[in-house]
Amino acid sequence: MKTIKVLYVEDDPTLLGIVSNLLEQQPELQLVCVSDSQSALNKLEGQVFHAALLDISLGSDSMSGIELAHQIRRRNPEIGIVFFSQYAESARPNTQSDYYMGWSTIAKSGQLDADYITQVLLDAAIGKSHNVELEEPLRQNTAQLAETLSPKQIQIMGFLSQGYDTTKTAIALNLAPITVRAELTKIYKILVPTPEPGTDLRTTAVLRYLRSQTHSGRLGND
Amino acid sequence: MTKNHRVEGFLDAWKLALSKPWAYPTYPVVSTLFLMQAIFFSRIQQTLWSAWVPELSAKILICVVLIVTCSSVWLNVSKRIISTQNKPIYKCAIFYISNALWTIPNYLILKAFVPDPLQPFPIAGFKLFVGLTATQFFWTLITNQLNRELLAKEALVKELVKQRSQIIESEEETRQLVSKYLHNNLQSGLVVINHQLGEAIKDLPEATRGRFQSILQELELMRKVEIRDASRALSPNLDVLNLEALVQPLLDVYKASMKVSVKSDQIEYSSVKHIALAIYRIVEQVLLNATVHGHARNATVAFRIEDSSIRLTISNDGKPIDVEAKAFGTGTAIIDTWVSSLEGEWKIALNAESNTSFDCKLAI
Repeated sequence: MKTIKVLYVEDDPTLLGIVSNLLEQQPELQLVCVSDSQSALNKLEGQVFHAALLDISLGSDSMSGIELAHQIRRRNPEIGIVFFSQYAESARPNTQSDYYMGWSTIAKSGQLDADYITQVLLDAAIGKSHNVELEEPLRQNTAQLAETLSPKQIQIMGFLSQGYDTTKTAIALNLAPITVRAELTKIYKILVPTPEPGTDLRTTAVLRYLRSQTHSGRLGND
Repeated sequence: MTKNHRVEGFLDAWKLALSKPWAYPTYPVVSTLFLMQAIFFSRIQQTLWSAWVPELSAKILICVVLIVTCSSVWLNVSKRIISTQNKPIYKCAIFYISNALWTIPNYLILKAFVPDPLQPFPIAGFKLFVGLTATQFFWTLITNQLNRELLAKEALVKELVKQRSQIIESEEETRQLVSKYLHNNLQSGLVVINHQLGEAIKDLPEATRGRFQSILQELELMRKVEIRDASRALSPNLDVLNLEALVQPLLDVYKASMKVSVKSDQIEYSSVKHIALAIYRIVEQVLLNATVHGHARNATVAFRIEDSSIRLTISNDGKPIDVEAKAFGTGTAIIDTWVSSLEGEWKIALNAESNTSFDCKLAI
């Protein structure tokens, strides 16, 4: 199995610790971690790296991860560059020149996928790129979604958000439990149109309903 | 305004009037006209009542027309010659020689139409001298008073522009602080918490884990979208790869109401990073104006490099702006402040397709 040497630059010590712990368990990676750009440039002296995993925002006193990437590429034009940031899309190249081969972006998220990060680093090291999509698929206007609920559905969500189960909600609204379940199925389709695997539909629907009510300034049972 | 300011303004006005007389050419020209007119009328008044004939009226008319026309030509010629000179001493010399020479054609014109125009001297000449000296004195007083007020107002305008820049700078600093807190502290903290909670719930029963996972997903959505949007709305991310990425968040904001496309030369971002915030804020205000006032459906943002400047052109297909009116609202005031702080220039015009086009040039 081929092992690649990776320079990881992250100014947040907690995240640096968590991510490096995750990646050190990957047998394909040999990780060198630093927390600022100057240390990163120092590490390049006398060492050969195959890829660099960089945060973009490295603090107000430091050059940005993008500037650091250009400096690293000047010293080692073959190195793979992978940005790992909440603003990853801001490092997406707008041209397909040779310079941007092996230039990738990964969006930071709570679900840190070590296998995926490893794969992107391995690909970047051989000149292959992966880039984050722009944020639009994530953006859902919960308030607008909730506005499409019928008055009866709003009443049901009002009780569910107070911790009522289906039976108690049915009694409170003088409905048959089967009617409440049928309405809930419709509500889930509206409020959770694209559930991720393992999603608890009721919990997600209640959370989104509560957020929509906060946005529109009304809470509770109408 | 303090007393010191007044004294300073008055002295400045005098210094300016004395050191740069060519900047106030009206004074000697009017004086010359007064002089010639007085001589002219003092000469003809003797014959005006006794020997008035239509021929005399015609002569007077031609004489006045010639004097006015020649004055204008003389003034323009002397102004042009003065503008070619760099040294103040040459400008001054040309100014005074030009005015002295002007008396010769004046005299010749008068002599051609009115015989012996200097005949009323010395008595009439003395009266004229007193009258003209008084006129000059009051003229100087009025001119200097006006100049003093003008200088004071210019100083106030400069102070206002400076204060406006300071307010915007201070506002940007505060915005950046809050934005950085949201991005560096809150968002990073939430990423870590989300990850730790995700690890912690792995051993829970499936039903309970599903509920926690849903909560975490919602938390992640809020972090990724809402907190991030709030951070960006406060202060843009300037650590980007290119200008397209810099303005991309603005394109997202207007996506629902207006399609914005970006065209750019291959511009090395590091060469414009120091003015990136200004570029972002200018584009932000122009797009806002295009949406709110122009109700535009399409807009184009173009970046070009010209000499050692960046030219920013934003056109939209909304309601054409009244270019003549050029009403200054908050948006245009913000644009003006940013452009002025970088000593750039901007204008709004209608392009060949009658679309409103904003054009701005900033040195890099």
